[in-house]
Amino acid sequence: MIRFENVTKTYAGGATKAVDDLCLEIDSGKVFGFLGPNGAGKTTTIKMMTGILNPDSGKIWLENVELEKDPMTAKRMFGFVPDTFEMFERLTGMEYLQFLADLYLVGDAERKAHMEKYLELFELKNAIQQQIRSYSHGMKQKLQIIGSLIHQPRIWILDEPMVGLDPASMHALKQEMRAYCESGKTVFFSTHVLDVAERLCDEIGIIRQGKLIAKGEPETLMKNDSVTTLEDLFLNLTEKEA
Amino acid sequence: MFPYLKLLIRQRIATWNPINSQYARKSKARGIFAYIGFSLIALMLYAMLVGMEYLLYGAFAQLGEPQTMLALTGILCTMLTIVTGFFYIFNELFFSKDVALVSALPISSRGLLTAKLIRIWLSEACIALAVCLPVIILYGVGQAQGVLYYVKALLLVPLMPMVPIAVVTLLSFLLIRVSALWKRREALTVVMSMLFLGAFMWADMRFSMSSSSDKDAMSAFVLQLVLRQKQVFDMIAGLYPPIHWFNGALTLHGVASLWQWLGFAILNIGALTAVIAALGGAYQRLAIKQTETLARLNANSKTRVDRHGMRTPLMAMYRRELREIFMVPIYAMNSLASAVMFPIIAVAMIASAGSNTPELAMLPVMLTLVPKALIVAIATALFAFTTSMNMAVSTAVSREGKRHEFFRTLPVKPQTQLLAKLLMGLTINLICALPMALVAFFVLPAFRLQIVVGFVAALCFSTATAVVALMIDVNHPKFSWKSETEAIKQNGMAALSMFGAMGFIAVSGGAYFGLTALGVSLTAALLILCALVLAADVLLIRRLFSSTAKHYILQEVRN
Repeated sequence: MIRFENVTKTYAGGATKAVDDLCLEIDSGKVFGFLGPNGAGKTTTIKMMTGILNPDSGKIWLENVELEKDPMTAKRMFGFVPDTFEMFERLTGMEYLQFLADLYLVGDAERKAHMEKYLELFELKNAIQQQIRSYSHGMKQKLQIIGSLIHQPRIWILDEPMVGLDPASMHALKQEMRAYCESGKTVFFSTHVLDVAERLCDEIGIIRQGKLIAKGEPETLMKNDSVTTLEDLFLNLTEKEA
Repeated sequence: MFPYLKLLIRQRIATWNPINSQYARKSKARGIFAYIGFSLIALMLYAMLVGMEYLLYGAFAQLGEPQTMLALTGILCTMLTIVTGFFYIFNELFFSKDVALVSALPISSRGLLTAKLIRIWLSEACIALAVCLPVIILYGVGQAQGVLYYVKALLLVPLMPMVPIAVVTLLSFLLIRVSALWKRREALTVVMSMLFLGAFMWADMRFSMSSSSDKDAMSAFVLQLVLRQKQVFDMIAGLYPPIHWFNGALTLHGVASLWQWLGFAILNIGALTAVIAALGGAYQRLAIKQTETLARLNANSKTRVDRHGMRTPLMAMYRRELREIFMVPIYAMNSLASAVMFPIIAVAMIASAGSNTPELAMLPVMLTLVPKALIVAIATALFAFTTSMNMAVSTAVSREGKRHEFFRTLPVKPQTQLLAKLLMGLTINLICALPMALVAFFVLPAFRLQIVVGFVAALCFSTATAVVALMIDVNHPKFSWKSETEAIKQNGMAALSMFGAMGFIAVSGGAYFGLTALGVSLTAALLILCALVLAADVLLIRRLFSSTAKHYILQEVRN
């Protein structure tokens, strides 16, 4: 479960509201797609729920743990795939994964099993002993995805996860996201690929200028707006509001 | 080529614009204050240089050789460009992030190299002017020179860095070829840099030890300085005769001056042009090849057996911090240099002792006359000083850069994260002080106990400075760096921490002698100071793990 309660974040000394009084609740066992135009506040929201940014006001709960009050427990709840590649470039892929497993206190057998599974799934086994800085954009993204799953978090947060992935890995990622929520865990991801969101998400939220302008099941939202595709709904809502 | 050159220059100017500073992004007032603060520090350092030049010029003028000071300043600029510019030029040419992007633009390889070298030359020319101007003015006023002298100087000094830039460019092309063959580029860079530094220090110490005087302290110091500079000048002028042309161009008159002026100008412009002509065509190919080196290396790499066992988060973070210092050449150079530099100085002193300075050979005997408690204090100060120069801990947070966001998402307490950084810093301090302690331990066998006690006491002092440096970096991190050089070398707060640590040792030394002057015994004075520093260590560590740790984890990375 993820819950935002009146969360606000401003930049530039209060002049720009990146996220404006956001209230949002996502139940466990769901894939939630977070959509919005560029600069709408998606990444800021994700950064706040992962503890990277401090909200100016409001509260965030992850699995009933308030992030501000008990950050260590809350941070153990999620795995995060950021949209940038600020990684430890001089480590090998394996060293990076082992480093993460150490930080998340993952046992020997467990880490080995998870690594084997995901390295196979994302076809990164052959490159895992190489330094990260020799990786391509897509390989780095795959490594971040595997790293985020090393401790099998209750909540899986992904910021633009499809960027840079090859079709096979994109397919594997979608399958894994689906399987993950079916095991009772939550997937929260932001994307600009509306087709993926339409097919994959149990629920979507659309944010524009920091405000949540729509939330619900994609079919219901499309029906309410009398459109047949998520793309039309998105354009209607974001352009109408603008 | 010209639009690219314009872009490079604009980018350089933008980094000096106070509006673009990280502090200004938080608040304009802070930005202005930070800029004023850094400008004052820079001015202070510049004033020190001008003071030194003034002192030396006076001494040379007294010896009746004021023109030697002009040549010496020219040599200083040349050496400065070679020493400080080596890594800069090397990085700028082969490891800058724009290589791939620019390669796709319709700019020729030679045009690319020309633009980059012109941009580098402009920076170095400004530095050369700043270094030479005081001496040029001193000489001009002292020798009642006319306007023509100043015009000649202003036109000639900016050309001076061209030969060093050409030499360094040539060296970096050679090095990149060799290191690409050896496929251990980074290790090679660290080793070669350390060797370079070692050789430089050795040569420097040989000169400083070879002349001695036991006259009145200040005049002896100035005389020694002058004689030493003269020796340096003679040696370098022998190796690099054009420096005589530079001197002649400024000090001679008429046609003789014109020929020397033309000779120096043509040599500099010609050297840079020749390097561009000879290497320009291959530059782009070689630079792009560097980006492929790792991929080629990895393609042939054997899968290593993974011997990784489970580690605690603290150990995992500590290992990562330490590895980073050793694996990034620029971090290794700035953190471990004192581990190499001080033992070399000591060995050079010992080597010089036998031949030129018999009093140094007598040092072990003379030391037996000094109270042993005082030797402990001297050893403490010396070892503490060797730790003060490394920038490992004072940039530990800044070096995270944008990865700080990653650290914020981790379920690891900020106290643990800071403890890992502190432990890394203390380990580096230990590595820096240990070689010097070992040299002292073996060279002065009669004082081994004192050296061991001094070494342990020095670690207490360096712990305090390390904690303070870490606290400063937590409060004023520089996350917005784009290159590792920027993270560690161009970090004003880290420089402040370094000078602060040196100041702390000096103040502690002053307090020690103050206590002894009040009648406290030598041993008791050191014990009192150590107890005070230990108490400070405890208090500082407590503060680090309380309010500083909270502040650390709440630091936001601003784009």
